[in-house]
Amino acid sequence: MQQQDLRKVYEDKSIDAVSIATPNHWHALATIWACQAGKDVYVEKPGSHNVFEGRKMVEAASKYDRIVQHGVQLRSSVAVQEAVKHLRDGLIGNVYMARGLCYRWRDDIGDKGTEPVPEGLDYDLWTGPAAKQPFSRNIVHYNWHWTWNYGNGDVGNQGVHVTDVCMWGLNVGLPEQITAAGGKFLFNDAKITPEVLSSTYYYPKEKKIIEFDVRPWITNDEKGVTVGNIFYGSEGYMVINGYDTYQTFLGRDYKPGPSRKEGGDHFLNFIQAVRAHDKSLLNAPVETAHLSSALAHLGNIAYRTGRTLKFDPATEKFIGDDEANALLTRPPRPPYVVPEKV
Amino acid sequence: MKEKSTLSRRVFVKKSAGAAALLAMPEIIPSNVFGANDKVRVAVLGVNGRGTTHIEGYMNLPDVEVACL
Repeated sequence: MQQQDLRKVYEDKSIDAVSIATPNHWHALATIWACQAGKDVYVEKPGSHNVFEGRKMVEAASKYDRIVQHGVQLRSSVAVQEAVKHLRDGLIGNVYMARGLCYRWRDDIGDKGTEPVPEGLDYDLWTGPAAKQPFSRNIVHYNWHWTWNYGNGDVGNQGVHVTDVCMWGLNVGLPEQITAAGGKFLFNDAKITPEVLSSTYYYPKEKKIIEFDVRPWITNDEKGVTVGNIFYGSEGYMVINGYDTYQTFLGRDYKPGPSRKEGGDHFLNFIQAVRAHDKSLLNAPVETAHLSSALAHLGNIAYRTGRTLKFDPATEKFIGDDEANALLTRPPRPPYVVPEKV
Repeated sequence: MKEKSTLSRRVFVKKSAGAAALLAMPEIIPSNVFGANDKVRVAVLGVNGRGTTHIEGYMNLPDVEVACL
């Protein structure tokens, strides 16, 4: 027997923690409700569907003293942890650029049109905090990723592993200037989010830059990477491939340096932090859920507005751009509302 | 209604591939994660793709039992 309503679970005092694997548009609200109900949370990436709700997740976890882990498993990889330590310790010198790659096959999904809601699906509940639109098999399952009401494109899907490592490796928060371009160039299907997206995130104070590329079809890899990162420093470069591998190449002759392949258990890390009730044990704490997701959202907003955006990381608002600021959140759909005050 | 029966991965996948998997969302599968003296009860919300991975993740831990609510 399945329980469709997560609110019933939150009322169950015997449940200590929830693991949220719903579509993106539910992640933040489900996390906030869980925190309010005194449950610890493992939330799938992206932690949030928009920037405002991501910040509210951070506030809720803090206010209710909950353990919140972001489902970016490479944070628990021993090799990737070692790679980031090398970046901090200066192995490749001054690290000024991170490249993020998200090259996954995303086939034509066709256009199945709309149809009546199938029996057994509580579509109002499924829709939850999103804007309600007619039911389509192009949305349920999985392909909701490609409709803004529910998903965030591939930069806000597979790409969040990669945005997270870009920021972690460069040791930066959110950027001050964002540009993006892309589009649907391959298929005439029901996807709305761009198939191809190239975005640039600029950090003028830190003198750093993130270049991010999403491609859905035939492409070259880059140093073997289709999903992962390349970090560029004054003394060398580092390749992080997938969830558990890194290599380094040092000096003008690209001499192979330290490398390693080793994973880790991200669920175990969560359970250990829950048992100890110690958020300092978490490898992917809630702040990283918010920031890595927000980076994806900022790129999407630059794409949707079609212009270079100036952003204030302190207030988490765009500067002088009402249209862009409106896309940092979404209209409330009671009772599924992320509150201003959690 | 609470069922405390253990659910093997094979049985879970079979269940989720049936009626449950097609559309219902969010779905709830609570699991028990046992420690030496304490246990952490985890409910997995949403059992399509990523949810299945979550349940497998908890089942891979020692002393974990996934029970159906």
